[in-house]
Amino acid sequence: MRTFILRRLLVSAVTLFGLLTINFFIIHLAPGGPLEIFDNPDMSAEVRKLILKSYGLDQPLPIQYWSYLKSMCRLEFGYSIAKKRPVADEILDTLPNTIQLSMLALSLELSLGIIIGIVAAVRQDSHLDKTLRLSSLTLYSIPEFYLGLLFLLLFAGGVGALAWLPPSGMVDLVAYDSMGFFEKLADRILHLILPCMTIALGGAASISRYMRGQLLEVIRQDYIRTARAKGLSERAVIFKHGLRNALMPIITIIGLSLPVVFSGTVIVENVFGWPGMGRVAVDAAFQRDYPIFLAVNLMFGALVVAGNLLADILYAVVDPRVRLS
Amino acid sequence: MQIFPFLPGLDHIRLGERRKGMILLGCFAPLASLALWRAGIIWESMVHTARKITGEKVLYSERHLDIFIAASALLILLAAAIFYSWISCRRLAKSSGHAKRESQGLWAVAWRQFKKNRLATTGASILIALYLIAIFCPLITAYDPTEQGHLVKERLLKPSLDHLLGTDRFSRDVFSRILHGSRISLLVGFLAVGISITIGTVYGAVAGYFGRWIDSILMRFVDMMLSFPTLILIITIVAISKSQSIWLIIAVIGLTSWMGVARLVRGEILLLKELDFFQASRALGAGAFRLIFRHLLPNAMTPIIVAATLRVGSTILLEASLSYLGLGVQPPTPSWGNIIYDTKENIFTEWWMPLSAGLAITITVVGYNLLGDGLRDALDPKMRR
Repeated sequence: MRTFILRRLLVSAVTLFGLLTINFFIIHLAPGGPLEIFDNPDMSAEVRKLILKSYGLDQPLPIQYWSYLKSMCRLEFGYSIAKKRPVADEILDTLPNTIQLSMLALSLELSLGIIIGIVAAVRQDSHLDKTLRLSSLTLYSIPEFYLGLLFLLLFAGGVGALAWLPPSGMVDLVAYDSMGFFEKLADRILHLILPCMTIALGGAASISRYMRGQLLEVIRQDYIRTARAKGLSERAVIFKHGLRNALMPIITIIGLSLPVVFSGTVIVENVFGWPGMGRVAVDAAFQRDYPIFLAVNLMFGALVVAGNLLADILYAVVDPRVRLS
Repeated sequence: MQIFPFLPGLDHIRLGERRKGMILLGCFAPLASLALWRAGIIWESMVHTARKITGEKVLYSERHLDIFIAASALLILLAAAIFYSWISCRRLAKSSGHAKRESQGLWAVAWRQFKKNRLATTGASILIALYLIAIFCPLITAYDPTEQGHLVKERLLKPSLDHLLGTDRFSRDVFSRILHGSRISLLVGFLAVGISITIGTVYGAVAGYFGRWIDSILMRFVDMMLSFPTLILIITIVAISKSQSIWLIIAVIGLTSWMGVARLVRGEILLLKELDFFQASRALGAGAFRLIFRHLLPNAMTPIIVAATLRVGSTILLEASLSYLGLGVQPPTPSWGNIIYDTKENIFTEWWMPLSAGLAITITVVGYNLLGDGLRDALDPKMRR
């Protein structure tokens, strides 16, 4: 087990190093280069040289790469050009919000997907199954931002003048500071519902399809027939013998769906005004504030790598066969 | 014997091919009525183009060319339908009921399976209708999607017969913008998937064929690329490049979404390499190039086609999301994503605008997903019962 974890750690470290490298080259190979934002036809050659020098861009590429790696290892992301503050501060302010939203959405997505998948598989080919399959196909064909707008319209003050849920933000900007602890909690949960649902529904649809397929595959196995033959109740057969084995591959799916969840988070943060990294990245993209989206890129990449590492280790814990190979 | 030569399909129904006849008639009737309805515009466009070609000095904008192309495409399609129906009816009358047994290749069997699958045929019809709308949109609506109307009198109008979905805050006809937006979405979906499928197939085939350290290095790189959330990666690339033309968007989406295909193809190649036919052709001395492109890839075609179809849907979603964030296709060129971006401030008052643009995206992606699922069932012999 220890060698397995060590090997996975090594692989993750290599992947992280690769992420850093790709990041570096995307910026430096782009037409115009990283100084594009300062570009000004009136600028004299000396000023241009001065700016280049102050950012260390007059050095040869390998040396720049080396100093870039060094500063990344020290978690120094540089200075935001548009916001006039260290990028690290900006990231620290928004990263927890993004993690909160995406992890809650991921767990909602998993539980919804698994439950729907089980129901569809147990009632295979019934009307319920067909309805569930068709609606999940529709759900993952809906773009997240559109689902978000629909929710806004339906639940946050749209046509029917229903204003059950807050349309944007993380907390009630006016009243939050004067609330008691439970009121604060309730306020946060209210603000979480719509963004979470928006991210989770699409993913839940694809997980439920996968879960249904897995469970149907498992139910056809010999040991399920044995379990039925020895007279176990259908409930025990499905939940004790079938479900456990069908759930294992889902762990891999968690790892694979992380980038999708994060992409969804970026969009949903912009729809619902959630103060997270995705919104910062999109704002920075408009201002060409490249230190910011380099850091955001790296943070998301690191989160995905960490998630994949966790999923791999979890899989090895659940399924001993993986450790041996 | 033809009784109704100018209404394709009727003769098929008369001769007993009900299904084929209904499909032909169902395609022909709306197109023919479109041609009759817009006969004036079509005639005008033909005359105008003829004057331009003969060298008269007339104003000829891109919009004129657009209408001319749509009009000629419509006429050619109608003529083709009549011609096809005439030929096929003659053959039908000749054979008169003696059903010929044709050989059943992969595609013939797949086509029969596909026809039986109701969801898949629904998906295919949605897509055919969409492509027809994309081709003929200058004829369906008379409004130029980028032309701004009167800034006070025609701004933010409610839906009416004149403007089916009203006008936006720049006094442009929203219905026309949504119809023309289909071109962007379908174009981006098609080309970007073309790029990513090509790269992914070659990459996966090379990795799977050569194996060993080449495979490990190539697949490590795929893992790295998969660790970036695609949307963030695309935002980064779009933000640092100078122009945000639609071709850049297509290239960037294509270049950042080939990894899944590469993995899929590599897996298929690894399976095929174990089979006897591959060992045999290698023993006969076939080179790597020939082995990959003549022997391995043709056998891996089925999953690639299915993956490509499903990918088009997700690519259209990606382009829409990017345009929604304001980083994709730039206005005034209409795309479904930037229509929603343009109108999202009006969501609580003029809610029908973002709603119908989003509905268009959803219908398109549902169409591609249905088609992809149906193709998988039809092409995969293991699923057949």
